[in-house]
Amino acid sequence: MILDELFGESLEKTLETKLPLRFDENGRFRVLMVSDIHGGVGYNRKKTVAAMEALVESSHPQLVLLGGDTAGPGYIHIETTDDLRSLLSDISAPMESRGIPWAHVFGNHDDNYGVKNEDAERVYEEFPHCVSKAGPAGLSGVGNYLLPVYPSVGTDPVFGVWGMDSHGGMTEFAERHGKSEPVKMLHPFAGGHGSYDSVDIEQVMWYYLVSKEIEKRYGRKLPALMYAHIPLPEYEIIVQNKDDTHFFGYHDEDVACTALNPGLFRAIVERGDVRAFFCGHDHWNDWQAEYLGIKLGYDASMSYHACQNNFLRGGRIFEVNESDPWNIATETIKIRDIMGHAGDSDE
Amino acid sequence: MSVIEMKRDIFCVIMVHSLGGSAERAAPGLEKAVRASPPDLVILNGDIVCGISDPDEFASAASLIARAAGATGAKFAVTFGDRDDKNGLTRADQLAVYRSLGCLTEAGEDDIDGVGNCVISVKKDGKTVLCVRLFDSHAETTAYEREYGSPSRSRLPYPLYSHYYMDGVRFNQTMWLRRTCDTEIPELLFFHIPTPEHAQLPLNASQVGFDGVQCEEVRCQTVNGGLSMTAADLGNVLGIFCGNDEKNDFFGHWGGMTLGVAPSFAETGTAHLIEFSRNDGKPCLHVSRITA
Repeated sequence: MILDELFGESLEKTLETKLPLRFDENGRFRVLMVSDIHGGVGYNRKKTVAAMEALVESSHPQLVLLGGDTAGPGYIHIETTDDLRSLLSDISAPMESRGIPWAHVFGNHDDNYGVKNEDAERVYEEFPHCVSKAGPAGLSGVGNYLLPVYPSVGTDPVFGVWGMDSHGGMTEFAERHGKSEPVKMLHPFAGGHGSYDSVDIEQVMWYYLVSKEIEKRYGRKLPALMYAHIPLPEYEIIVQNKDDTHFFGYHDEDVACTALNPGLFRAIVERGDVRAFFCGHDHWNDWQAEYLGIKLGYDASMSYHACQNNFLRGGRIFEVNESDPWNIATETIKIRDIMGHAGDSDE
Repeated sequence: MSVIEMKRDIFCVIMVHSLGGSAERAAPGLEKAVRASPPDLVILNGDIVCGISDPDEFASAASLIARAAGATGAKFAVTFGDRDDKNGLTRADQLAVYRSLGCLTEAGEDDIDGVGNCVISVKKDGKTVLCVRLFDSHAETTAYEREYGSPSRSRLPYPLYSHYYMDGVRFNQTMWLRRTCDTEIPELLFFHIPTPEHAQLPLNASQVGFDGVQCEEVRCQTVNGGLSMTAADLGNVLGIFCGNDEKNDFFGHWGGMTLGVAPSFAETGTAHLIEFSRNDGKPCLHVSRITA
């Protein structure tokens, strides 16, 4: 009722997905995340397609998440929805041919090559196994959704995957909020150069209220994984406190996040259901850590074009067992490990 | 909703916090500050009467403070700080005592965390011209570790700006502001524990028109509840005024608002004076200090 009023989408509608997601007969649910492909007409099709195939083949996922910046920027030559359609046919082939559901969130480059996110989303949803949703009309951004995951046997979801649109840059923030100029950024930024955007308060409210309604409806909280393109400001706290946060992995560039904190991490702590938040965006970071019982971290870039990193190139795997869905195990998967080389040679 | 009449062209608020362990010692200073102003509203912004476990003793200490606050006929309101927990009385019981002495603070909605989340409507000629919004900013972070069941093995890392671990205004309270705020009416926000953005002001002195002194780390909120960004985004919030610190005393401008941190009244005898008026129909805020 309240969700309808505030965001124009009922809980029923939020829980609907094109294809149901389920734990397998062994009670396992495996997710593969791949981020920052930076594709277009001028991308290295051969290498990317081979690497995607290798990732899906070796990780046996039941869901594949594209963590944003899948297309663009403009110098990779992508201009029309047809260009995007052809790119997505390449990238999604390993999922579509195996019947594996996949979803995506938009990154800061996805809407700066000429196709609006609203139009791009329709192209994504043309694919039979793409389970992404544009999300409630009352929210800013495209691609705010919850994918419920059902047990191997049973009708009530036991796990969830939240996707959030983290928008683009600070100029876009000012435009979206009707400000004549960007809100002054304070140093030290809670992260990197601070010129990126984040989710809006309304999106955080939507997460909070849907999470609360779900608890009311099923009599329990729904443990979940959340992903978005741009990191949270709390990532900066992690990198300054590696010893206290079970920090593990590569931190080869600054956290490039927003300087304005809408309280998403705080809302997650207060609701106590999302147990892992992962993002892309910073191509050279692939670390994971833990803060207040919540796993935070990165999926390094898959790109062969933009700020590429042959050593880190790959994806991230999440595995959850239905006997304890509160425990999300995660590790990176590297192209160099599964293909024997970083996929960057011409062989 | 509590209502207060704006009798002059200026609406004047005096804000003090951390009155110390002895109401007998704090009351004369408070009365002096009030007489020097005089205000339309006195906000006792947390850590008011601390360390008393006997209800009768608490009531008599509270009445000394209330009498001083009302020395010139002004109304008063309270918010709760981290040390108000260190009484034998719950926050709800303390609020009942304050209300019996004329306090405008109301308990607030049940499904929002804390006691005393409320709005005081300032009316002129029957129309609301200003909202004064009060929040419970809770206590130290141990409270939310307990409440939210975060595993103890995840030690809290040092926050970015201070080594204190404070709870602060929670996201569900931020959401209450976002949902109930009328963006056509100017608002002032008051609570005890500063937001992380308050703690960033001294580090950005030239950008924010920093006015005052920083003598110690700002004891700000550890996990950002999104309040400052939300208030900046709403556009009608003129200022966010906090306490908690002992000696820090500053104002700064950020996101179209004035953010302020006042020092402990017991330590310094300093009150923050916040004056609201309209200039050519545009809302105006003037901030200054009074030292008793």
